[in-house]
Amino acid sequence: MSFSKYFFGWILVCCWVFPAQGQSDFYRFKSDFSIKEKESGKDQGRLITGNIYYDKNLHKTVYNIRFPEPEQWLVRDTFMYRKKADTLVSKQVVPPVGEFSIFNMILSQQLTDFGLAKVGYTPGDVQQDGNQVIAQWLPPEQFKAYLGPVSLASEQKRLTAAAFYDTEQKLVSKFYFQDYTMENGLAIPGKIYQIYYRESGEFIRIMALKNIIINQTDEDQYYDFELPAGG
Amino acid sequence: MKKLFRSLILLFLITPTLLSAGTRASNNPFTDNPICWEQECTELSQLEALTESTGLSLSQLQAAGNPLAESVLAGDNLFNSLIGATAPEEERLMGIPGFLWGFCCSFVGAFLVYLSIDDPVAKKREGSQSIIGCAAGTILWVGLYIWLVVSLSFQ
Repeated sequence: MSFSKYFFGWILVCCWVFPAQGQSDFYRFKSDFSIKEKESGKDQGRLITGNIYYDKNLHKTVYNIRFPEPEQWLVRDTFMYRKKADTLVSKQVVPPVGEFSIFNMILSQQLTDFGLAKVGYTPGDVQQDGNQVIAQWLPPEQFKAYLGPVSLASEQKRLTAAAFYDTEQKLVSKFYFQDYTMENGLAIPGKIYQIYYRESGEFIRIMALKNIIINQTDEDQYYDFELPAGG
Repeated sequence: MKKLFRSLILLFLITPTLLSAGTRASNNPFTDNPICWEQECTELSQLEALTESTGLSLSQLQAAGNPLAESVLAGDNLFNSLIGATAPEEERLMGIPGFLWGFCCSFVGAFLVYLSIDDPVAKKREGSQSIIGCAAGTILWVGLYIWLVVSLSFQ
């Protein structure tokens, strides 16, 4: 494990962590979601379904999980409260989940370049392949010893895929964004495929989003939830 | 300093697990057909459709003896799946990244990581991370100490 991989991962995370500062035109996100995960060569995987409420300005996220078991995850900044049947079952310190989420990236309108420009990546070679425009993004000069390039593919100015490499040009992970819909002028992918290339094989994560609502003005009890008693 | 501190905090919190296996970059790396990944998850998709139509939970499906319930991993650690921002979690000591063990507990943390993880790939990965964490922690504290001494000596 080289030090470069930390920096590489860190820059990935920064794509989500340092979105546009301050208030935004788009600040609330609600959606049904499903997440499927499978590791190559293994029979069992993971399925999670539910819905999510995220308020970018309040830094609050609610996950109403339906499967595998009904429960509610309330996240505010770096605290997560886990409730089952309206009873608080645990509280723990977590990374700022909302800030890391794809929902924040969508609301911050950083999906077109995956937030790379914001963290100092610069566009390199661009090529056309059919309808796809594939752009190479190069890491900041001072981090070139630690960071690899990123390839972004887009069609009709929408990000369709991203590939992340380490400094040895080896593929680390890929993302595919499909089934875009327009909500309040925001282009939102309905399906996101994440593939991680591990020594032990591929790890696949498929996230589906549907029934998306942007800037919902009701259901404040979710977007601005009160901290659970005893929390 | 604030920016550095924020960066370090992020580094400690997330500690992404990016791995060295992979293939070389080609001109167009986006030639995959996601259908093949959907096919890998066929049973999970069937399960999703079933739960959507019936509203049944995993424990209810297991109690009913539904074979689709067998396709789901046991355990309730959903956190990494939900945030979806970093590589999936692999074997870790108490679920805490090796970097944090090394950073917070120095050599003792690194030693514990090496002792406790069985999987050789995970042991190598987490062990390396714990040593990096140990080095980062040492550098940070030494740096802070020097900065403190220097700043106090000029007052």
